[in-house]
Amino acid sequence: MVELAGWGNYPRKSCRVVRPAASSELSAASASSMIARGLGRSYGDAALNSQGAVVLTERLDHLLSFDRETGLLEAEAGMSLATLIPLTVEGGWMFPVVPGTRFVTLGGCVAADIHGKSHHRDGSFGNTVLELALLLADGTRVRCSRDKRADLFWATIGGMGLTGMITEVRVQLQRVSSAIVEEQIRVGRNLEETLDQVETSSAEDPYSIAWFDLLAGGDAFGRGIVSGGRFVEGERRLRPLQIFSVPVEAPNFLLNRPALRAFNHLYFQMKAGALEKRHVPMGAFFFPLDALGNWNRLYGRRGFIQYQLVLPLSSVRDGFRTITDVIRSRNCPVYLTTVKKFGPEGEGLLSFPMEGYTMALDMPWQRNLTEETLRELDRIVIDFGGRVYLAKDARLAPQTFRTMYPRYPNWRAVKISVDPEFRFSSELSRRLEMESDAT
Amino acid sequence: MRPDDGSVVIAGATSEIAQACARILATKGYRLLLWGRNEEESRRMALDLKARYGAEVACKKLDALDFESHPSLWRDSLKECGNIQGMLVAFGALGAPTIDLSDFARTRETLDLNFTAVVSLACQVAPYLEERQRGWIAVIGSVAGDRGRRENFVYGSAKGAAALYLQGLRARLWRSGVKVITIKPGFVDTRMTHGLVPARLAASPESVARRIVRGLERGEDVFYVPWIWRWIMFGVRIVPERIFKRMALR
Repeated sequence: MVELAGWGNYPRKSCRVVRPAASSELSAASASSMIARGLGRSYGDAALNSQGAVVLTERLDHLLSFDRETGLLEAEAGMSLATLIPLTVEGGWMFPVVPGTRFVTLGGCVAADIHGKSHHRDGSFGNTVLELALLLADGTRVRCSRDKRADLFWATIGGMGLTGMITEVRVQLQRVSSAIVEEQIRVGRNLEETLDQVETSSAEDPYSIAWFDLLAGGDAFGRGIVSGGRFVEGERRLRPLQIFSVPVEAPNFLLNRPALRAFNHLYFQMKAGALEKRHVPMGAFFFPLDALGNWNRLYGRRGFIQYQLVLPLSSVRDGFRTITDVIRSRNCPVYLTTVKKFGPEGEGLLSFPMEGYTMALDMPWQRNLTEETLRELDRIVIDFGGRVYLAKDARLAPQTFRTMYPRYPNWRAVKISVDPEFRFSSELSRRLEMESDAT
Repeated sequence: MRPDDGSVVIAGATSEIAQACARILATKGYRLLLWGRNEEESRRMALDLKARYGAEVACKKLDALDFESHPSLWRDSLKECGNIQGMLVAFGALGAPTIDLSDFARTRETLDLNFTAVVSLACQVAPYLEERQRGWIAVIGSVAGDRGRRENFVYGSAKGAAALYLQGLRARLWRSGVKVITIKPGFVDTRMTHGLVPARLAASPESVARRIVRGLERGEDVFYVPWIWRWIMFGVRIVPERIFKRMALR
């Protein structure tokens, strides 16, 4: 038994872990309840299971094929982008969609249908997946795609590992000219201005992400830095990653409001004053926080939550204003905020992105953060027609989830057809009461 | 040891240490021949090595306990690769978690897998290398072979026997320029030990592999990995028997 947690270190659960060292060692008979776990970068309880087994996929790391002429890649689901990207970029290819860290497995990318700085143009990871191989609850192995068992395909993409164990993933990469990105910085001095800059950047830049300061007071509230990027010509080798790692959980007082306010202020000044356009290594552009290993430990023993929501285009300005009003009035400790424009919704039945804007709020579990406040945020999100990301979530209520994900009944029908006994289940699926009949 | 001097045979190729070694050897340009019990897993490993490093990899099925099959396996391997420079033996198994003194069948299997099978393969490879006047045989042993312990003496005795055999073989082959290398890992974080030891105390297969390949390239005789085990086992070996027999070590 090992104590496991998501990236937010909340909740923590004691789980029985198994670690198959080869694909042939995978068995659906390991336990009456099992869930796969890659590198544990989901924030909440998606990869935890206190009622059965957690299957660690890290040793299922064979690259099965990589065609350097066509950019088609197939690999076992335990392979990480950290291992794959240097390899592919050297060949002039890159994943069109990557999340904010390279330390994710292919299986995790599929299960969470991750999105990245390119969503407004390229959509989510599911768009780049051609075919999946799955181990189902009855022990059979199947392959699915847009043409073959498409219902299972779209239930697995974004399906949080609950349709079965993803064993292999086939992806179409895109050509890149180098490992260098030209970054363009745009500055907003308040919430509205920064949102305007996000709009501009999304129209002009293939890759775009924004950092907002929600701790600044007065007129500066919501000031931010929008970072847009595009690949340029240059060398195709990734810089080796120098990681300074946070060795232990920091004391609870380390990250506090005044310290973060000061940090935000300095960060804003630094970025706002920097060169408008500059060349950065792609590792630093796509995965800025990877250089600080185990940065989640800075939030201490209690951990934190990342509340990531998306609102449809029509309600973004009003919605964001309402949400930030609540944050301000309740004095919520929002230590990191990122915002991004999303493109159209994908076909994953439980996929998170929809056409609109997403906002991710990192908040430590502290006095000023209460479940009551989060429920109020849930209500606002629902009122404005949006939803919350399951891969970051640790506390959504069952009914809230069902309201936010209208395609859940369709997903559940597929789930029941391949796994009627819910052999693939996790803390998340139990918290959301997926096994019960309520829809 | 050079990449262009012939293929490297890895016996027990799908073990995690072997896979890590294979990856390192592949980046250095060695041609590999994987002998594994599970042909599908060997095939995947070969695909991985080819896709990642463009390596030349062939596979053959090895049933370590089927001694009768070893001569033909060796003949077929030579025919396929032409030139073989060395063999890394990486298979092994701990055997039953608790030793049943009366269960000879199980005991014999553990002894055969960890010792007799190694000798059987050496009987094929050593004469070839002796005639060739160069090359190497490396075997992954274990610190468990340094002293018989209550917890794992069947496994330990087989590993110890293998170390002795290799010691003699080393003396026999050195005039021909053939190296015999005994590798003694401590706890390594693999399927064999998962759950038995806290991960902190176990070395990763990758770090062990790096040390092994270094040892192969230098042609070392015997080495422990990680190095600290050399001193741990020195301490273990000097404990007087009347005290050691009472100790329960984990």
